[in-house]
Amino acid sequence: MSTESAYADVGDADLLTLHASGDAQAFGELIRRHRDRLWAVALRTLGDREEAADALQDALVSAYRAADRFEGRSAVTTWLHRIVVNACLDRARRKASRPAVPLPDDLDQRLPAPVGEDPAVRGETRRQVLAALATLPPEQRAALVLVDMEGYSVDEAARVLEVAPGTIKSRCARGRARLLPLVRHMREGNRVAGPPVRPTDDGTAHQDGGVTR
Amino acid sequence: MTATNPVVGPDGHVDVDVLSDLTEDLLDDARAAEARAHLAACAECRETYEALAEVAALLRGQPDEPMPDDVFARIEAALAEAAAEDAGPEAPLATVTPLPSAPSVPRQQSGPPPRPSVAPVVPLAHPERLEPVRPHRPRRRAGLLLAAAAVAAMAVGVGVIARNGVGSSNDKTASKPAAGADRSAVRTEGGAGAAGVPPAAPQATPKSLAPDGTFAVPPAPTGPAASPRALERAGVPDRVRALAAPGQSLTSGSTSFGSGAPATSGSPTAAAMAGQLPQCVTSAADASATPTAAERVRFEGRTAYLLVYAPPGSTSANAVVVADGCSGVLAKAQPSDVLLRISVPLP
Repeated sequence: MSTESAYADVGDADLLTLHASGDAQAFGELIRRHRDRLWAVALRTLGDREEAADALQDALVSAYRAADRFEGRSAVTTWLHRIVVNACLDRARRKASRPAVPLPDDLDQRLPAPVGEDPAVRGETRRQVLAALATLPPEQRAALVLVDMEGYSVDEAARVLEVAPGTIKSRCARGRARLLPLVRHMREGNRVAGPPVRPTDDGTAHQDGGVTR
Repeated sequence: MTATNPVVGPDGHVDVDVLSDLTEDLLDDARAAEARAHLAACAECRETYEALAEVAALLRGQPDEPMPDDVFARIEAALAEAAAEDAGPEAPLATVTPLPSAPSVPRQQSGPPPRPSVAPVVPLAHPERLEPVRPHRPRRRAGLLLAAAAVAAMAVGVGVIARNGVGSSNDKTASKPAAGADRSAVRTEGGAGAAGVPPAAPQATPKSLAPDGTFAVPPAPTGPAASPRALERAGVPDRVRALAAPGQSLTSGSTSFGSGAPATSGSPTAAAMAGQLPQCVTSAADASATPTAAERVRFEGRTAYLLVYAPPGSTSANAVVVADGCSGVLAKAQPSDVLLRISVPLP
């Protein structure tokens, strides 16, 4: 019942090489290593579990077959993220071209009822964030997911999306501006929810639980 | 777009986009200075500016999103299907969605080596799933082939993968197969050869069912319950050759499924074979192929199986040592209990 992987000491790039040379399990190991980050990117970029699973599946099958074309100019994770994000953007654009893109101005109306910062409703906050992200243009969404949510540097995100760093900054800035109603909505929720259940340092600290690490 | 808007709009406040650009240092000096001057004087715009920071903090503060197990299983199954498709006679590679970002470089070496057209890949561990693997199946049916089975389908003739050796090398060409590699070069895990070059050409040793789809079993194979033989790493190649040799009489604890010898009458089917080896072992090893011989061993302090794949006429034998630690389901539960992979040239 060993949990230790035989690949524990094998780097990502070598896993890809092993895969390309026929190792049956190397690619699976690579995906296992990065499964959560890749999933988070897909889910947050698409905002829908099924869509995200479909996109991720397409992307990883593509990566599985294109591994021999990986040139090692970027990190394997960057390459994998690029494939996943592109698959997500393709889907998001297709989706966006069908119905009208929701306007950020009416975000307030479409958000669910405000919630307090009780940990029990943290899941609701998460849902609201995903819903709000889904109202952004896909490119802004992807930039925010990579930089603000996944903690990639601007330069790393630029490599993933293959755009200039300035473009990433701009997309993040515009995306955050569009998400302002979300924060205002949540502030409102906290005001409506009354005093925080748990003691906090001061009158404003109860907001922190929802907005900081 | 808004980049050309006046910093302070008609409503007497700085546009939100401009404020957000300010946070990212995207404004030129003059506009940045104007925006800052306005912020110093306007409480409402300061509030907006702070709210923008809250947006970033809110996004940063979102908890991790672990991939649900069902999604992982689905992806494993899809990869398994891809492996099976690539391995199949029709190999509809053209159905792959092209990568938008993949550099257009000539394929140096095809990842999954094209398998000779042998019959459908039948995972040994799942004899009940005998229906042929068809290309172009609907995506959602991906659960048909399990991951390890499938991903394993393409591991034909990997030559020798020296785990530690490969891990120590960053040269992506290090473990590419070399044509005409030294037949005597056998590397094992932890061996000195960091650039473990798989000696065997991928197609050299097709792991497949015997032509008639059956397997020969020697008259009285000793079952896995026998006391396992201690197997040293360095002794693996010799042991593999012994098990691969036609007509070789096998020692206690080993089981041959027809190592090149003429098939005996009453050959059991794959289903019968599957009963003789733990499912996790065959799955983890190479469930798409059928070992021609197997032996229960002690390997590095663990109870394990040595599985040998040496169809009649092969010039080399592939072998794996798989720890017998199964309870989980395939690669998901026991992803890497393969302790050693090796390819041994046969005399």
